[in-house]
Amino acid sequence: MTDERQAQDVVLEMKDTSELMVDLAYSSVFYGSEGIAKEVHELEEDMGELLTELQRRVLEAVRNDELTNDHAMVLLRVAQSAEIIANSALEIADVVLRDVELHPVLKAAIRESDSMITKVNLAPASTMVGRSLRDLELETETGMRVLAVKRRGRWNSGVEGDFVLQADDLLIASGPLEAEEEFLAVASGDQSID
Amino acid sequence: MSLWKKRIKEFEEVEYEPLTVLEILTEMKDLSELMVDLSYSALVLDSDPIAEQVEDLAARMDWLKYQLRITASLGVRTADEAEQVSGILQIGDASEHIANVAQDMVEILDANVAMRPFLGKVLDEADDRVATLRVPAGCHASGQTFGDLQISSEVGVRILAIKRGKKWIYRPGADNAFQDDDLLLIRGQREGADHLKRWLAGEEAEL
Repeated sequence: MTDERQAQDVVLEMKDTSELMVDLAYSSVFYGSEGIAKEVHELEEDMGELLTELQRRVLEAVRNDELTNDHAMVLLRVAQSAEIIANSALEIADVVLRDVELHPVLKAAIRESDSMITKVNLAPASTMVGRSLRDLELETETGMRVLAVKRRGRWNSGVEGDFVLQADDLLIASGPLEAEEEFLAVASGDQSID
Repeated sequence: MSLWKKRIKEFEEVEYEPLTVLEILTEMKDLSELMVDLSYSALVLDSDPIAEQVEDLAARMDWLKYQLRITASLGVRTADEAEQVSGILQIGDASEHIANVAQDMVEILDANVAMRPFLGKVLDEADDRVATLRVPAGCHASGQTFGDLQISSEVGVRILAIKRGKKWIYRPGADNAFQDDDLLLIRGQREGADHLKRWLAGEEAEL
């Protein structure tokens, strides 16, 4: 039943991806960030690929009698739902990307907000490389919370304390406005933290 | 208080909240994220109690969508303003789509009872679980804040949301406290969740 196992793995990856997309889509609106909205677009492409991969695996498993038709239907329905969630996230992010001025309420919220969201590539020279999020205590030290990490083209969402950062990781983090400068300096290796 | 009166009170708590557009959108974000998380979790963990909460949250999203339509439309006079409002309505519609899909997903559980669990192998390996937990009446922990108790570090359980009466509190922080009859949505290892349950029931002396 290796194929079923793999199909289930793909479903889980679709789950993580769609959750991240929803989080980032709303965040792009609240922080008025086109960069984050564009990440949602990229993630949507990942979702498309995952959906195709899942469909293929499920069909193969059915053909090899490793999966019943009914069970296959369930997996396909879940995958389809994940795809709809991804599309909805895209609709939200598109509000930031399209060529219409943001609603004054949103603009005021962005202007008055004392927090922001930022994207940064982790430089090899950064003191954050090779250390776990727990060890770094970023939230306590800088006020920044890492939402997701992209490594070799793959997003890791819901990163926990034991997640160890590597050089060239792309981090998405949110936190207070005044923390951004220090965070970016540390990530680029211009400044170090304990 | 009679059950009927209690219901009316809870009903009023939900109905008479004058929310701003920003408050509505913020809640929609929290709600969407929670619903997506819970709907997948219900399928992965083969859990009817979690599925029920998704249904409940969907009703809240529906209500929020109407509030958003009304509130966002107030004061629109020009075509430009209408265009700006359309962006907000688009977010509201997309949020509702997310809620609908989450609902569709948990309905798969009901429609395919014979095949459950669907994701058996994932279920076997899942060490991180979502569960519901009720704070018992007269609980010794009522009034104590999550910050003081350090639940997350003590038992490795994160409280995703609290349902209090008809109200939801999303991502409760250190300042939030337990109250009798709270329904907690938690994520964590099964042993931690079981320990927390026994502790709330007064069967464990320490967290």
